Amino acid sequence: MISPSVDNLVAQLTRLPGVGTRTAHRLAFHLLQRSTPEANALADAIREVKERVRFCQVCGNLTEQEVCGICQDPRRDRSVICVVEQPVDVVSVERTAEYRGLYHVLGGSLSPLDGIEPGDLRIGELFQRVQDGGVTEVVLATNPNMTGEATANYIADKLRGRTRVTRLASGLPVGGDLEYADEVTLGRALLGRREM
Amino acid sequence: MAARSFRTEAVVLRSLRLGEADRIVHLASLEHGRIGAVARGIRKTTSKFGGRLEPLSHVELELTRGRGELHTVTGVQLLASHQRSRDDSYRLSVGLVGAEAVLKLFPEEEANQRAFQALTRFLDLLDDLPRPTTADGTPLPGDRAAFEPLVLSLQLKLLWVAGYLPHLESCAECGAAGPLGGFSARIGGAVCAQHAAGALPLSPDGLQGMQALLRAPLADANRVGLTDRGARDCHAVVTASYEFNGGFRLRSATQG
Repeated sequence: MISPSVDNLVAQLTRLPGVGTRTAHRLAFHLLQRSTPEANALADAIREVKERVRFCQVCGNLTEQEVCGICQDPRRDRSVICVVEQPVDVVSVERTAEYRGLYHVLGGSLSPLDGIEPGDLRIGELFQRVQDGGVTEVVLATNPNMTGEATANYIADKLRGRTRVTRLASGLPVGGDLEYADEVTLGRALLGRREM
Repeated sequence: MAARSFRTEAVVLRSLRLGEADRIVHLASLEHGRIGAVARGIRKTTSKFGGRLEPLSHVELELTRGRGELHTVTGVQLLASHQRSRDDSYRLSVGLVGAEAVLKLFPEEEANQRAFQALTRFLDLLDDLPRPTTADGTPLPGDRAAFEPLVLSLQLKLLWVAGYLPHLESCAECGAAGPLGGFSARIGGAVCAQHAAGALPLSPDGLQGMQALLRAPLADANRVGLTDRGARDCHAVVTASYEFNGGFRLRSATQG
């Protein structure tokens, strides 16, 4: 409407998650008002991240080297592997500061209706890591929804008898009130109750 | 003009990620048939919908009509979570075959109460479905879910209420009482040896098994004595009927 290049910028921004046309317009005009070096810095950052960042050869996490910092860190407990769906889940688990083991990023979850089968995920690589030895526990931290649970069940079935397999607990969010909990979550919290 | 807001009983057939924290849910509803709706913010841990809209859940929904094809979920009450079916890989595989059959056989926003009731009955029975085992008690793999008598019975009944029931009592082409040795989706049922050119082979076990599954209620599907060969033939007939009448195959029934 204003110029083809502005329209193109708006169209590209609209492709980002959570960005609609109005927000895209606002962002585009904000960028136009910034200095050229500032705008170029953003463009360079996007270009650089696409050129440099790749998947870790061991765990599938994002990294700029062949092997990511977590896999290289000698202080990490190499006998425990936490299995997550996406690299962003590694960030969430790391934020807890409760986990000191390694990770394995599957790249998604099993979904028969969408045609996503075990061969489409990095499940074979996980089994290979367990097969290579030294792994005493696999923590399944896939999402607590149908596809995440199906993936966890599949991996647990395949690893049964080869190593200890655990699943993240399901339950009530800390700081919440019991009366607002939905039946499914509260039911699972009851099933997973522990001795005090 | 129809009210913007409405309530309906529904079963969640499928759920797809949308944007940052939303999901599109595909539903089989009692009063409106197959519908799609957006559940906003459902993937956030603070969502008021919580775990109520997982696939196979039987719910009472409050929806607002959207401008497009998708409605918006504004309230959910759980009628049956069917969490036991989702927690077991075999039951889940069986459940997904049933859900996908409904999803693909009834694409229109058109109520079909008998199909809906068959689906909810199927899900209730699924919660207590034992995992099949070998003679020594070893569980059989989940990829046998497509041959489970309960889901084969559901699919035959769904074909029936959708108007695609295969004719199994006599040759669908000439009316001969038998022997029937093939199945032709094009002709619409079992066929005699004379009209079996290009038809699927159909064993006596398969023919009798399907007849028994159609006569028996869903709850008795595991008691009709369906043999392994009979289950395979029944699965082949159902698949051929889907392909010929609807032009689709079930992805969930071809996993493994």
